[in-house]
Order: sequence, then C-alpha cells, then structure tokens
Amino acid sequence: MQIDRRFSRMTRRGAMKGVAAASLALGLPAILRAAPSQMVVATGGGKLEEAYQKSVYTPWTAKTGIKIVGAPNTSAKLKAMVEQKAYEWDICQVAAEFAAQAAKQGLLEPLDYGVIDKSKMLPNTCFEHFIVSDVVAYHIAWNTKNVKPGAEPKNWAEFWKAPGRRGLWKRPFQTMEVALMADGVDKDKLYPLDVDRALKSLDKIKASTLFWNTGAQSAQILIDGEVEISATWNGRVHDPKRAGAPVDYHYNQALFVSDAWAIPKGAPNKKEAMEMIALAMSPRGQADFAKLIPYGPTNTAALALLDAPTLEALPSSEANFKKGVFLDVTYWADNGDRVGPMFEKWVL
Amino acid sequence: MQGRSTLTSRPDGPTARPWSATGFYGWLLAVPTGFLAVFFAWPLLRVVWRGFTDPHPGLANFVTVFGDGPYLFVLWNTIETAATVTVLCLLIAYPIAYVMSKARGMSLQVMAALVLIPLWTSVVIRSYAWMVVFQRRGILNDLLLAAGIVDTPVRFLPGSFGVHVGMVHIMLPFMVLPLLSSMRSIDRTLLRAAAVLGASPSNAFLKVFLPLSLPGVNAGVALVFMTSLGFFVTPALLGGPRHMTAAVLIEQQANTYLNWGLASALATTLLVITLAIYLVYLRVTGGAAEAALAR
Amino acid sequence: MRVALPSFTALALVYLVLPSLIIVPMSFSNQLYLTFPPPGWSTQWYGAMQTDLSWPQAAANSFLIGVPTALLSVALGTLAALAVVRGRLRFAAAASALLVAPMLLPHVIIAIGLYPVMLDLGLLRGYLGVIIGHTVVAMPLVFITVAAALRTYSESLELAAMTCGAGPWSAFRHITFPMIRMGVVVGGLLAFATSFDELMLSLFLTGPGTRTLPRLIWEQMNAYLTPTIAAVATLILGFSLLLLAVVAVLQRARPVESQAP
Repeated sequence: MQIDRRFSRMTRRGAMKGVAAASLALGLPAILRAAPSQMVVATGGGKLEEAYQKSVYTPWTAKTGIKIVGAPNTSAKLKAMVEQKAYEWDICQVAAEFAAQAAKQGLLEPLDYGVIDKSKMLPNTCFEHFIVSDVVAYHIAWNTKNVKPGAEPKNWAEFWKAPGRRGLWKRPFQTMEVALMADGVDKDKLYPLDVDRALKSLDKIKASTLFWNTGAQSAQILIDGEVEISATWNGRVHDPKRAGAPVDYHYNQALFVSDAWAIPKGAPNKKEAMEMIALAMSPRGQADFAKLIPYGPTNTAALALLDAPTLEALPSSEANFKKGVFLDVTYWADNGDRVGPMFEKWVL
Repeated sequence: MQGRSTLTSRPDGPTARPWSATGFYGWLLAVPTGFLAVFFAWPLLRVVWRGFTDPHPGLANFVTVFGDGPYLFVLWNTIETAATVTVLCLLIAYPIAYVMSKARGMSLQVMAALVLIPLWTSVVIRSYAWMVVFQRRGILNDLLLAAGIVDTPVRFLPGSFGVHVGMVHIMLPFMVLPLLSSMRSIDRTLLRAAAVLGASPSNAFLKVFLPLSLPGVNAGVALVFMTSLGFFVTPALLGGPRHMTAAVLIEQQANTYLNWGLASALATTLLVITLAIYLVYLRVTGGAAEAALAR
Repeated sequence: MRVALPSFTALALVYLVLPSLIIVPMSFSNQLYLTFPPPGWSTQWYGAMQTDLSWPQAAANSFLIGVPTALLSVALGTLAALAVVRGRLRFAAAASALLVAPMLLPHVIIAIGLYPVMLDLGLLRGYLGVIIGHTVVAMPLVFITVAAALRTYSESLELAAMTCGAGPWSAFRHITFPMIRMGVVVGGLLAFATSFDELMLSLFLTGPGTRTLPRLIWEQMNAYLTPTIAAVATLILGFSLLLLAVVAVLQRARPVESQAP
C-alpha cells in the first residue's frame, strides 16, 4: 500500500508537472515555497487569530523579521499534507483532542522541549507531539430572564433536573463527560468513560434537550431564551454578558478543554516553528493572549502577570481551575473511533 | 423550448457535411473534457480508491458504512429529506410556474425577479435568516402568539420543519425555471382546441396541459433531487441530530475524526447513489443532459 | 380557483423574499447580538465591517476568484457547447452527461477529492486552486446556457459563411458568437454567482489570504453571531440585485435567449 502510493504519486507528479508548467507559462502566480521570510500558522480564525496576531505574531516578526500569515485550520487537510509531503502550514493550532488523534496517526513532528520551556506548565499539558496552549471551560450557563437568581443549577446533577429546556453540544466529547458527572461520577474519576452509563444518563433528558452545533448557536439560544440553561464555552458568553445580554455562568464542575500547538510532520522551517511556539508559550505571550480573549494560560508563570479582574474570568486562574477537570485527550485519541459512533447513533 | 430542436429532423446525414467544419467543432471537446478529466474525474477516482485502501486495503470501510452504525440511517435520511424537498418544491413551484407562464409584461418581470432574487442570495445567509424567523422568540412565534393560534411558543428549531422550509427555499427557483420553460413552450391553441371540442377547463388541463408540461417536471425533479442529496449548510444550521445529512457526516468524519477512509467510503456510496439517479434521469429524458436541463 | 391560484402564488413569492426582508433591518441593530426586531437602530455594524480588515479582504478575494472563474468557465463551457451541439459526435449524449455532472454531484465529494490533487500540484498558496475548483462546478452552467442558445438557431448560417470561404474562426467570430452572445453572458454571470456563493470547495481550497466571503461568513457564524454578518449580507444582497438587474436588462434586449435559466 505504501509502495503503491509512492509509485502512483511519482507517475502523477510526472503527469501533473506539465499542467503546472503550463500555468506558469500563462503568467499565473507562481506558488513556490518561500524561504522562511514568511510562515503560515493555521488557527481557528476569528477573534482567536486576532488575539494571536497582537500577542504573538507581531512580537515574533519584530524579533525575527519572519512574517506570519494566518490560515484557517480545516483539520482534514493535515493528513493529506503530511502524506503527500506538500505543506500548506508550518504550524497549526487545533483542538487538543484532535492533536492527540493526529499524533497517534503519526502526522505531527515531535516537539523540542529544549527550545520550548515546560518548567512552569500545568500538569497534563506537555505531550510529545503537541503542547496545550489554553484552557477553555465547557460549563453551565443560563438565561437570567428565565431563571430566577438563586434558581440556577449549581452542578450538572441540578442541570439535569432543572425544569424547562436545556442545551448541550451535539458531539460525544465533553457531552458524555458532563452526562457522567450529572449521574454522580466524581469529576476526578471520569476516565475511562462508562459509555453505557453516560448514554443512560443522557436518556433522561433527551426529550427536553436541544443539541446545538456550534458555539455561536449555544450563545444565541441562551440569549434568545430558546433554552433556559445550556452548556457552552466561556468565550461565547463572556462578551455578551459584559454587553448586558441576559446570560450568566459559573465554572463549577466545568470541563476544561484546550487548543494545542503542533507542527505537521516533515514540515520545513521546523526550527523557526519551534521557536515561535516557544514564544507563544512564554509567560509574556500567554498573558498578552489571555488579556485579549478569556482563554486561560497553561503556563502558570503567565498568571502572575495578570491583574485580578482578568484572572477572575479565566478558567485556569487558581480559583477557577480547581472547580473543574481537564478533558483526557489521550482517552479520546484511543477510543474516539469506537465511542464516537455509539454517541452519534444514540443521538439520532 | 430548445429541446424541441432535437425532435424536429435536422440535416444530420453525411451529405449535409461540408468539409471539416463539424469535425473541427468536435475536436474542441478535447479542452473541456481534458480539464474535467484532471480536475473532476481523477479526484473522484482517488476518493473511491481511498475508500477501499485507507487505512488498510479491503472492504472494512464499506462494512462500517453498511453495518450497525449511524451511517446507514444518515444515508437513508439524506435520501428521504431530498425526496421530501423535491415533492414540496414541485407542489409549490407548479402553480407559480403556471401563473407565470400566463403572465405578460410587467407582472411577469416582477415575478421573475422575485423567483430569481433568492438564487442570488448566499445560502449561508439565508439559513441564518431562517434561524431568526423560527426562534422561540422569533417572528413566526410572535405572529402565532399575537393571532392567538398558539398559547406557548412553538419549537421549530432544530427540526424537520426548519430544514424543509430552508431547503425548499433554496431549491424552489431550480424547480420553477424548468417548469416555466416547458410551460411557455406549450402551444396554447391546443388548449383552445380542447375547449372547442367540449373539454371542461379542468379536463383540458389534466388531459392536455399537464402531460405537455411533464418534460419540465422531469427536469426540475431530477435537478432538485440530485442537488438536495449534497446539502450541507442548511441541515447543519437548522437541523437537529436527526437531520444529519451525508454531506455533513462526510465533512465531520474527515475534519473531526481524521477518518479519511470512512469519509471516502461514505462519499463513494453517495456518489454511486447520485450517479444511479442521474443515469435513470438521462434514460427518462432520453436526450442530451444539457438540453434536458435547459428546457 | 380564480382567486386561489394567484393568492397562492403571491404567498409563495413572499416566502421567497422573506429572508432578505429580515436581514436588512437586522443589520441596522444597535445590539451586540442578534435580535429581531432590533430594539434600536444604528449603523455601527457597517462601521465595524470596515474596521475589521478581514471583510474587505474577503470581498476582494471573492471577486478575484469569481471573475477568473467566470472567464474560465465561459471559455471551457462555450467550447464544450460548440462541440456537443455542432460537432455531430457519436458520443454527444455521453459527453453532455459528463459535462453536466460536476454541477449535480455533492460538492463535498469533489472537495475531498480535489484537495489532495491541488496539494500535489502546489496550487493552494494562491488563487489558482480555488479558481479551478469553482470552474469545475460553474462550467456546466455556461455549457447549458450556451448550448441552449446554439440550439435556437440553425447552423446553416455558419455553413453558408464557410462555404463562402470563411475559416472556422472567422465564422465563429462573425456569425456564431453574435448569435450566442447572450447565452455566454448569462452563463458567465451564473458562473460568477456560483463562485461567489460557493462554500464547500472554498473551505478546502482557499488558503491563507484567499478566504472568500461565504467562508468568512461561515467561520464567523460558527464562532459569534453579531449583526456584522447581517450588514455583510445586506451589502451582498444589494450587489446581487444589481447583477440581477443587469441580467434582466440584457435579456430584455434579446428576448430570444430569455429561456435560459
């Protein structure tokens, strides 16, 4: 199979070269691999990319002269890139559970922890092939017009019992974990997940639950009162709450999820990529990022650089971090293709 | 209208061919087909190939697709949704096209514009507008509550209702246009002749007009059904878990689970279904595909 | 029946324009999040759109991709139509089926197939990859409209010109092209519109700096629902109406081709 693919690639390359040459002859833009005067960093885009632009890319360019171009991290692309050794990205930032899966499939370059300083990192954030860069909370939130002060669910068990409609994410990861917490599983004893128990727990609320697709939807249904309570990510409700939207939240029993930096296996500019990740993971880089978007640093040294009001909103501040628990990315990398379809089938 | 020229006899015999003009035209086909061979046929072959080889050679991915997982349900759901949307489109579009086919001048222009406007509005944005209409505190519920039809807001989202309304909205122009083309080419003197011979208006419609408009119905149904099989945005935004379509599933397998083999196997299955329907359609219409669609 | 039919049609037409009627007022909302009807009015989201550079950039990209897509589709689609309608090919029906197929197949299949091919060719860092991808799905529209135009008149005119000594190019330039011009223009506009609204191929084939409007709208919608999206939608709607008016005027000038969808 491996030989087959290489063979077919060679003949394909030969056949395609003519086409590429023709496109050059037509004066169309030549797409050549630039010397590292520029690097491509793939992220989730939007506000996240804006925040990295200010907190990491600009200082990096000032320091090295290497420009950073942002790209959307359509994760399916990673596999094709590595298989064909044709790289669109130098560095990518993807969901940590995706990074774990990609690492398992051999798609990521091992990180050089001689360049990246991991001495002050939170536990379970430094992996061989990726480094966890932020802490986002998947937590309980409610509409303040429909839920009277004091009546909001304090934990997932109350979230399950609350009257009215509730929202949960339409994906297995995170939703299965909170289903177990609702059923009384201790937050530190979630893994390995008891899948049957999680689905049985979800059975109890299926009829009154709206399964949403995207973070934006979760915020919108909360604000509109489409649901009384919902699980959501803190970055989605932080700004609307400040702007006076009828929504509030807390971090009790929150499930902490993350993004991670990684380098596609075999990507050129590996050395510079390590250095940029090191800069992004430095206390200053992490603190500047957290000031722009309420995703907590994973480098504990960054927390010391932040003021109290900022810390209050961050999932990884000392006070908030002990309220919740980290999602086990290795569990999902090892069991995702088995547990995922079980959930998808249940939810149908 | 244009399709009719295929029915009338044309000087197709070799005697009508002066030197190499038509031969020259034939050679022109090399350029577009070459383009499609490299950028359409070849990529599709690679998808099929991957379905059988990734991560291991064999039928494992197809066993998963047709096995005890959620995949078969999703494929079936995709077909069922496409069929529902097609039927709804036909029921709504036929009267519109009928009225338009009789209209003239300004009123025709206005109606044509109203049919075409959605065609030029982003699908993503339209789905987003429907979200606003169907929310629990949305416009529709406001109206229903104000009119006293319901006491508590109706839950439209996520649900079949929203998905169907959104998809029908997107596909409706693709049903109206072929119907209109076909109806406008119907010779109205035939209807008058039927009336003279004593047919009631409804009889004349059923026995004369309806059969003559069938080519447009065929074209519209095929176009709408095949396109609906590939829907992504609308079900992803307006649908709940039960409304997952094959396109959403394929994207999710490739993007979230990094499972290109299964994504390719699903894509191959969807490809086979679509091509089968396409072939049946070509059989039914009997002519060149483009002529049938332009009709 | 006399009342029922027109009122049903009127209702159906209202249904068709309803989403557009909602988006416009929403774009003038004074709220940070989406509400309808908005409690107050402001033009701040149009301002926000200008300051956030990604919107103008995405709009520029959509044009830089849409226009070449339309031109390439016109070139390839017209050649295909000439060959199929005038070429007297034995396999014309098969060729026609192949040429129309890309428009009908789910884009997601084409997208996951085309991405590795484009990687191999190294076409993803610029606009060329996505232009080619969009042309694959847009070309059938030109093929359909031009073929329809070609079928509306007899080829005896061209044959006459050629008999009188005109070469194929000259016959095309002076006889064929003027007859099918409207089909070409309408097909080109439809091709542009397809590219302008295409999401799935753009998700896979656009890279850094080539992100299109539908893709940016999609990304923003997955992350934050703000009235900026409504403002963008309103502007796009205005632009689309303009295009539509152009098509209408062109078609009125030449009613022969007005059947082309």
